[in-house]
Amino acid sequence: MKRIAVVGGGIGGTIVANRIAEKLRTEMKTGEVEVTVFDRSEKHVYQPGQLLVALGMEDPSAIVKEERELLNPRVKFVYGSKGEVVRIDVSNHSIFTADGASHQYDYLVIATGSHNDWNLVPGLRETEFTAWDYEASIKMREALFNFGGGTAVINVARLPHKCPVGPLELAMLFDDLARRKGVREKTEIVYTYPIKGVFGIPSVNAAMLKFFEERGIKVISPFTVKTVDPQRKVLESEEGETLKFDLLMGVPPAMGAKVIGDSGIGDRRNWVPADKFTLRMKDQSNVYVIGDATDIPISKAGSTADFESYIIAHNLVDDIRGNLGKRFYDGSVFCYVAMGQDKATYVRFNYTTPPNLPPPSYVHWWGKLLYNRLYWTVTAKAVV
Amino acid sequence: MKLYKKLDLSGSSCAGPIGELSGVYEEMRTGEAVEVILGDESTRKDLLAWAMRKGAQVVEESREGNRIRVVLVKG
Repeated sequence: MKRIAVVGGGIGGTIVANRIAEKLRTEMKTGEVEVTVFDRSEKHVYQPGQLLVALGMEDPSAIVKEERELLNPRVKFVYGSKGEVVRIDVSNHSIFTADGASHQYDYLVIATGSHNDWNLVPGLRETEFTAWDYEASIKMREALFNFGGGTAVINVARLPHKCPVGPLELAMLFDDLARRKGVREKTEIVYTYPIKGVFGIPSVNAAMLKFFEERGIKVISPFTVKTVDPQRKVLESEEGETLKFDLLMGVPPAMGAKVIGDSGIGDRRNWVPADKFTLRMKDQSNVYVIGDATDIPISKAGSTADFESYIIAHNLVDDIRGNLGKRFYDGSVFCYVAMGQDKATYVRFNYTTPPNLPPPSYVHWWGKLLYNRLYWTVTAKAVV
Repeated sequence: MKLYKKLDLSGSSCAGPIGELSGVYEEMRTGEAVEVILGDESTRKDLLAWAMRKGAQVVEESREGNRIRVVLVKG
């Protein structure tokens, strides 16, 4: 029997497990193949929905479901200490879980995601409201509800981070919220970004700078936050600037999962080295890496993991059956970008074709909301 | 000079080539090098300006067709 282990039951791990299970349904029925998803939590959070929770536009319970409900019934799922992977030994094809057990695999998919690294910037954890964490997004909702005006800073601490268009959306949604609450005239919105501009892709950066200007959102960049003084409510940057705030929101620094560092298989930020086309872990023929966990210079986003899942599932099935031929990831990404509380645009690009933002519209806004709803029944279950 | 990483930054990504490089640069130790592949001249100019601000030293540059190879050492 071939054993396929998927470490991590987030967006990437769930979709790829379901896609593999669908392709290998015959082999799984006859017991020739077993697919197991390992995760510490039995809950599945749709992280892209956290921003709407923070803005008071989505019910927190609507973005959480039982992981078991999302997985193909043929896929095994272990959680808690039995599912929490504490070490991965790629040389001996085994993983170790928090209950002390070890598990052999024939093929491994690393889907351990990216995680907030608050410790990199002293004072940040105490002061910043963020939607890049489920519990924190609910706290942020309260802070925004109580906000009565002042200087609101939206800070992107480091690059890369997950959901790259998220801070742009936050700026536009917060601007809209402040207008609807009647406090925009007594609010200054400041957006800071570690490199020049507000986004890394030139075409998107140019378009967003124009939108920010129209909305009166001030941009300070490059601004790499070094420390935050919680008492004085001041940000200090590596570039030597200081910035006072009344409300601080943003994206904390990101890094790969602790298990990657503990296993010695990642770089210094715990990203796993992977080939940008085959999505195989470097120097490992039976290990794939999906989504935020990779060190590939591509967007850390749910849609990236979804696009990658087609390639990994296909190639892994080819590894087992040997008759399909290999496929290559083209760098595809698709993300809706909320431009206010009733309009959106989107970015769609790959390695070789940069995006052009279509004009913001009500239709794309509904596309965004619909996509969020369809995630549970279509995307996560790998129906298409 | 110890080469920490090679980065192919010729493709599109949300953080962009400078954003991706800035993340890796922060991981590096003083005196370590990173080799980057860029896809166009405009990005090369942005990278050189960024390197100057960061105090990084450009120690090698070469071209092969449209691809530009730059080696930077962390200062």
